[in-house]
Amino acid sequence: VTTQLPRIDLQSFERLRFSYDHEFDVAHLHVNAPCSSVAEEVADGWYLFDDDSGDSPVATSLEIHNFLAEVANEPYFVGVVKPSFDEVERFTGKQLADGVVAEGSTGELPLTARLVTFLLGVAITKLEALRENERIPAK
Amino acid sequence: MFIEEADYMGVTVTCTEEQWRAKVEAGHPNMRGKEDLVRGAIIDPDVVMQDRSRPSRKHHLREEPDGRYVMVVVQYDYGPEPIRGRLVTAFMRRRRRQGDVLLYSRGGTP
Repeated sequence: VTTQLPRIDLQSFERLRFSYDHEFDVAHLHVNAPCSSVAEEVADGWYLFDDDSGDSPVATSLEIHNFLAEVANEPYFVGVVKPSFDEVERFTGKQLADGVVAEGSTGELPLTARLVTFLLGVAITKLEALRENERIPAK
Repeated sequence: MFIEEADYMGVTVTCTEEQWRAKVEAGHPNMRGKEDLVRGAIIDPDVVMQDRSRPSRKHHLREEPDGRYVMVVVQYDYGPEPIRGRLVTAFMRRRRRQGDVLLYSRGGTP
């Protein structure tokens, strides 16, 4: 098991891909283009992917299940999620609720780039907490 | 149908080629060409876990020689029609998470 937490490589973050599968309520947010990655479940329905590069893994994407049902409308997230949704809908000309795929540069999708960075940070924090909890036996 | 296999309970799980490309390959390029691993995880999983949020969703896991797991998420549709399963997504996973509810284990021990 990789012991280092994945890091976000902001310097190489030039493009992103945001997809939302309305049939199963699954969102997938990629830093740059999708690439070969392996996942860890960091919280219920949150799958953080990294490039599996050993001691210094780089976070590559985040897949969130039950995205609209459990995440997007949470007060904690809505402030960063809603502007991104509006941006993705304008960019694609489609409604998010119908399912979308948006691929573009961080300049073309700046609010969504912030969302990707923010959610990856949240996911890495969740992974750190999960590993800590799994090291400490439950009382 | 691109994938049409009976799972550990005998329920047919399906995925069209279009769905495979859109829901699996597009986001997980390392799954390209691994449809047989996914079929194997449906037919003969090591373990099946309950999804923690949705009672109608299950996670089929099968360990590969490198220690990684193929994970296949299946949505089961219950109703008047015979139960059927639809593939939600599939990807490679580093490890199992503690505390999952185990629904099935090949050999009977988790």
